[in-house]
Amino acid sequence: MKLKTSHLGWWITGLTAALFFITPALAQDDQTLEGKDWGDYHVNQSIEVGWRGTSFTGNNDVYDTFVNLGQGARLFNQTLEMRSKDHQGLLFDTLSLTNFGYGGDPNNFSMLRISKNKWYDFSANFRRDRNLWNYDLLANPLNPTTSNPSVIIQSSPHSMALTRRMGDYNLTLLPQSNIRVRLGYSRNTNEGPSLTTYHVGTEALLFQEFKATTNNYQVGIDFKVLPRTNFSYDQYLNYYKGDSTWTDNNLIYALPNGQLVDMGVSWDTKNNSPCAKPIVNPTTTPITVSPKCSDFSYYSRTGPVRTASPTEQLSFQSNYFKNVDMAGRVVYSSSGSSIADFNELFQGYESRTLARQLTTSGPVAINRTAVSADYDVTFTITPKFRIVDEFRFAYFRIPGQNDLTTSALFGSSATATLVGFDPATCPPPYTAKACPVHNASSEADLATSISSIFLGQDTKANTFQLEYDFNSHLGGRIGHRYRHRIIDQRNVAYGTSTYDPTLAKGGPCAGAPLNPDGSCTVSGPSTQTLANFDASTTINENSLLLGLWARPTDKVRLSYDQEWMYADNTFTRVSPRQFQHYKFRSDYKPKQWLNMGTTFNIYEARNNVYQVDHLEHTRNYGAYFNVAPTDRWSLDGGYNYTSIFSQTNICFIFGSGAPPAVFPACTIVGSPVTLQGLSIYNNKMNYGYFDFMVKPTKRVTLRVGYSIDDVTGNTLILNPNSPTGPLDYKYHRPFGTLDIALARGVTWRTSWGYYDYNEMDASTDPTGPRSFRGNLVNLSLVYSF
Amino acid sequence: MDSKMKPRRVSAAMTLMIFACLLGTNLITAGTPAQTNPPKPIQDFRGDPADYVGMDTCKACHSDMYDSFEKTPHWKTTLNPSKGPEWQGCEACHGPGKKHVDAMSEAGNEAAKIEAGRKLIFSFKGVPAADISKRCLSCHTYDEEHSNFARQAHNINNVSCIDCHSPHHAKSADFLLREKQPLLCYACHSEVRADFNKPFHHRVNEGLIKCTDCHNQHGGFLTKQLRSTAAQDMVCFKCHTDKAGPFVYEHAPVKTEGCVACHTPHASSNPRLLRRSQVNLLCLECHTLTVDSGAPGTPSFHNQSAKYQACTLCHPMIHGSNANRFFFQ
Repeated sequence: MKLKTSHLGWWITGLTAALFFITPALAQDDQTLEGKDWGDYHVNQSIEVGWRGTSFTGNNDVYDTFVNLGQGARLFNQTLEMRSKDHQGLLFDTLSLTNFGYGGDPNNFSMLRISKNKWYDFSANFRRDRNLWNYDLLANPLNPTTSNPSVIIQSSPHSMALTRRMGDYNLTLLPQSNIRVRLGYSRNTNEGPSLTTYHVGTEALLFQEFKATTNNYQVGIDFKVLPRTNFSYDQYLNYYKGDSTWTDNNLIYALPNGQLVDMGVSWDTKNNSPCAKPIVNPTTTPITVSPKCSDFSYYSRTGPVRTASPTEQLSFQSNYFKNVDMAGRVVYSSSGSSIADFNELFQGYESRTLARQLTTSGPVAINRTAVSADYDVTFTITPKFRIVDEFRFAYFRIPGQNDLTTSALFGSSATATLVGFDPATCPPPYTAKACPVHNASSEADLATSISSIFLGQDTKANTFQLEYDFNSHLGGRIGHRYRHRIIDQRNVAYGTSTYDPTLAKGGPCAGAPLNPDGSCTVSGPSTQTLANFDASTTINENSLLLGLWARPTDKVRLSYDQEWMYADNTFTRVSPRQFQHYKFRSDYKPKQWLNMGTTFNIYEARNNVYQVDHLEHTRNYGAYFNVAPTDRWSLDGGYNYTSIFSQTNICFIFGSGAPPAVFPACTIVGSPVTLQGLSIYNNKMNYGYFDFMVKPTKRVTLRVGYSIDDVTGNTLILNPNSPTGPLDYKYHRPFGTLDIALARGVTWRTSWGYYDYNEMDASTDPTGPRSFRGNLVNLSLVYSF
Repeated sequence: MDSKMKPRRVSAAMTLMIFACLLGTNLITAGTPAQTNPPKPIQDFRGDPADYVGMDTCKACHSDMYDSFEKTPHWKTTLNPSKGPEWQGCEACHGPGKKHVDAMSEAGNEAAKIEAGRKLIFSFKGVPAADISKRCLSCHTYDEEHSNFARQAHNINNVSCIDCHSPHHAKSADFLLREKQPLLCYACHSEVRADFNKPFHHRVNEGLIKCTDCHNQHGGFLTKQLRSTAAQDMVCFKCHTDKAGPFVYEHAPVKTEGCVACHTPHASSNPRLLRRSQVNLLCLECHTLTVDSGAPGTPSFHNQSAKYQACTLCHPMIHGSNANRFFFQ
């Protein structure tokens, strides 16, 4: 919780004003800092430490999701540069170190670079980011108020509070020799509490203790065995550990027998979610719920994933042949991933199938083999004319298999005693009280399935271009890109299912021989998965490429790129069958202190075949300027307009009653759902900013700025409870910084930032408001030399 | 209606723009003086060792440039005399200086002779970007990072090394950059600045991620100059390792079309950088049964009227699952 600091502004204003008046006697005219000599090194250093105060109102969770800057003492920035004066230091020639964000900010960063001429280059960086994420519309069931009871979910069932730590460490030995060695190590951990959901009858809110760790090791060697030619060989080993666990800690209701249960996050009693009459007694603590409703009384899942991915890469670059520049690489990677023992236990009640307990366990193994080869070459035919060819081959295949066994126990209600089939207590005709209860939807009592799934893609692409420089001011290119893809998917699943005698006469057992105890065992394509399939998709894409650059004078720079693509097939309905992409940039710098430019970036795509009718565009237009006539003031500004649009024909089902008149019947033959609509997404964003800096005196620097996102849009909304949400908002961010030089190398800095997020919440929005307004004030001292 | 994009009109407009640019630039260039200092081809810009004067001579007149040069890593070239003077100091980049020095010495105060003398040393001003970059790359091609520079978007759009790096006036000591990231990149890619100011964004402005973490500014082999993981997977998986798999049940588009099938990589107005504000529409756009659609259609019990607001409520393991074909767990 952020502290309310209602008097913060007055304190800061007073302090800043006081400093402003007392500093003339202290301030030095010359703020140019040349650093200091420390022995054989020349050193520049700066450190900014201080305190941040925050004061905000509105939605705390959205503030944390977007900003998450808290109150307290901070290391705002620290830099250290050391340079050997004669470039021949004893242990190193140059050293640079940067740190910021320590003391509680969500983003911490450290970077260290050290090098010694001829001997080594070392770089290390460490990044830590804390990701508090809770935007309540994501995965929110948006329960209707007509439900009895009405349960409004006020936060995202998929919220998270994760912390990622990334470290990258690279060492190059003998960097300037003909043979050099590179060593690298990267570590990435991402862990913390988060929420997710799981569906068995109802959507339980699971606590996900997320933990993923990756270690990556690299050994590489570069060698020059030919003039103007470099070869590199790299060996990588990537090792991933996924140790997330899932449990249900949301047991906030009670059955009549006192058993605590989770009723899930979806509450729509009119649509039987979790059932028509879930509450038995609302006056008890906890509230007593019906045992005939779907619920979770216990859930746990574990399945530690271990993935090892060794990769080898051979690459080269050469200008060995006159007028031929070429580069290429071959990469082979083979990943093996496994879960030694996947374990899942559900206890509760699924009213549809009468399941009371489901236990799933078994091993999982997956491989991924990826091979790629690239070869790019430029032939310089004349000083003005070049032929370029780029070839890429990329192939991967992912065969995976799991061997899972699921055993189930059934009951007539959530409070029924768990009973398994026992021929001694459940003799024919299997109607004794000790016989397990099933219904027609009940799954097998014991099911073992082996699923083998395959996904593979074979890609070959070639880009051929002719480049011509008309003169030193104008050049262009024209080319053709061809991409051929074959995507293969295969699914083979084989299962053995045993049904207790009460189910053995129907369903999959119909007509099958019975076991001596009256149960039935069937084998064949598994009922636990979709039907086996073997599908292959071939896509051929052809693109026309055009490009121009112009530099009519040294002050003007223009560039234009265009690609027109046509494909004979698509893999998804929203993948483009045709697209046009245009990019234009202009930059005009009439004076050293004045710069302005424009950008257009327009992407138009479609897959407008029968029954899909997919159209989309992303159009972006922008302009910017920078003015800095003297060191005393500067002004940057810009404006950008982005229009994102998409429409796609979709079919769906909408309620059990009469459909709204706006949705016609689905015209797609064989569609299992009945209604048709045009899924429209329309997002228009105006973004503007300015940043003004002025130095009224040599010891005072004032910087003020502002940026705004103004977004409007609309989309097809199927769920009447769903608000427009992030399609209609304004986000204002003014800021200001006042630097006052107190002494040579000592600056007092006061900075202020304001975050004003205004989502245009409808009054009927069940989960709003999501807006917030926050003041952040940093008071810091910058010491540098 | 806005949805009808009138692609023909856009195409026509673009074509017109190309011709306008061509015409405009030709008109402008027609009146522009010829280039004053044409560069030599890369193969022969290094001259005879006898034509080199050494950096102390340069320093005598260009002390300000020398002072900045002396603080940069380029000064190290002077420590390695074994390769000859053409690889050392100022002249390693600017070429042999003897003719220039001789001419300037003889010029006295005669402006014409001074001007003529200036043309006898290579200056990077007004030189095509490709030629500037070739000079830099004659030393800096020694790794895969730079290996495809000749074919990358910056080079073919006449953006040279010194548009981002400043050997004499760098603002950032690291790599002698003219400006720190991301401001350096925003200077041209202004639309990306707008992206990263959206509420849901990768933390580039916060300094946690750099543009060059995902894009190889010097080239690379992939479109958009994207980097990849060591295992030749999408660069996204370098940080989002749990989404990389491999999984028994892959959500195929993640691997075949890429994360961008559902997410906008820089930023979005929508949570989780999704392409749509309503998650169920994002799913339904693919999962509607169509003749040639590979994705299965939604079954009849997926009621869109009141519940199932987000498909991921029941299908949370949407990037891939090892236990459930429907991405339940």
